[in-house]
Amino acid sequence: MEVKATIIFLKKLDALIAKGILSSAQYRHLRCIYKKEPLHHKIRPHKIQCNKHDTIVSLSIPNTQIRLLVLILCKPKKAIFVWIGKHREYETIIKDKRNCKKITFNCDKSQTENIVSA
Amino acid sequence: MTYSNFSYETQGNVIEELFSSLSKSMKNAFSAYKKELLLESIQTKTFKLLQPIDRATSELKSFRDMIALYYINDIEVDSKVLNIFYDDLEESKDKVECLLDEEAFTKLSPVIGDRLHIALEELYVELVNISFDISLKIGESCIGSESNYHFLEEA
Repeated sequence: MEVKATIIFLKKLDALIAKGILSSAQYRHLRCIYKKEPLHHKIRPHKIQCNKHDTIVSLSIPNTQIRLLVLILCKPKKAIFVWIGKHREYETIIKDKRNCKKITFNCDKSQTENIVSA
Repeated sequence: MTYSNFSYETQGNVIEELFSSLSKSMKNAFSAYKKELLLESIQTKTFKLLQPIDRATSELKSFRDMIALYYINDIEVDSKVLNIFYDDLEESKDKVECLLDEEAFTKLSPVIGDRLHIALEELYVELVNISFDISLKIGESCIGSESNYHFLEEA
């Protein structure tokens, strides 16, 4: 699957690495797993059903408190890493219903049902 | 003011003025807090800090509405504007996060400490949410347009 990232995502990633909160090896490990197997249990892909029809998809970097939010398109299959941050920020984002509707997830049900719901 | 067709191209000056006003409010909030922390009379003066913090929070709420309606016409131009704002937000968010973990709260009386903590927590929530809104706005504009897709980088 094609995996891209926004400039802001990469900037935040660099900041987390610079602060010693995350190592680049840990990030590369997640990216490697995700590219090969997006539903791998190690990266804990989660669908967070926040409104009736809206979903946020999150990933976890193994052995850290860092979470990623991913924008996924199925036709053509693309993933864009849009947000990365600490668990504290992540909790704040998913608690706010206004954030739900903004995550596009236009896959068929059959293509997404294997992602675990939180 | 209406936000219909709101973009940097049509409302550039307004956006810059709003950004500058917000930035000033945030600076006031933090400089006031730092100065006051040094004073022994912090207990009695803490309530004065609440005003700039609450003002910054309410300004951020308006900004969130603005960002939600912000239409990206030209990713090259708009992302530069949003990036500058994003950097300020992240810097402020890190400062608020440090303040929230500050042990000084425990030295304040429960009423004042709790009120200050709640005000900072609200500020933190707004900062996190706007940073997220900007991240997503740029992501969505890239994925939704072939001409903007090149703006994405390898993950």
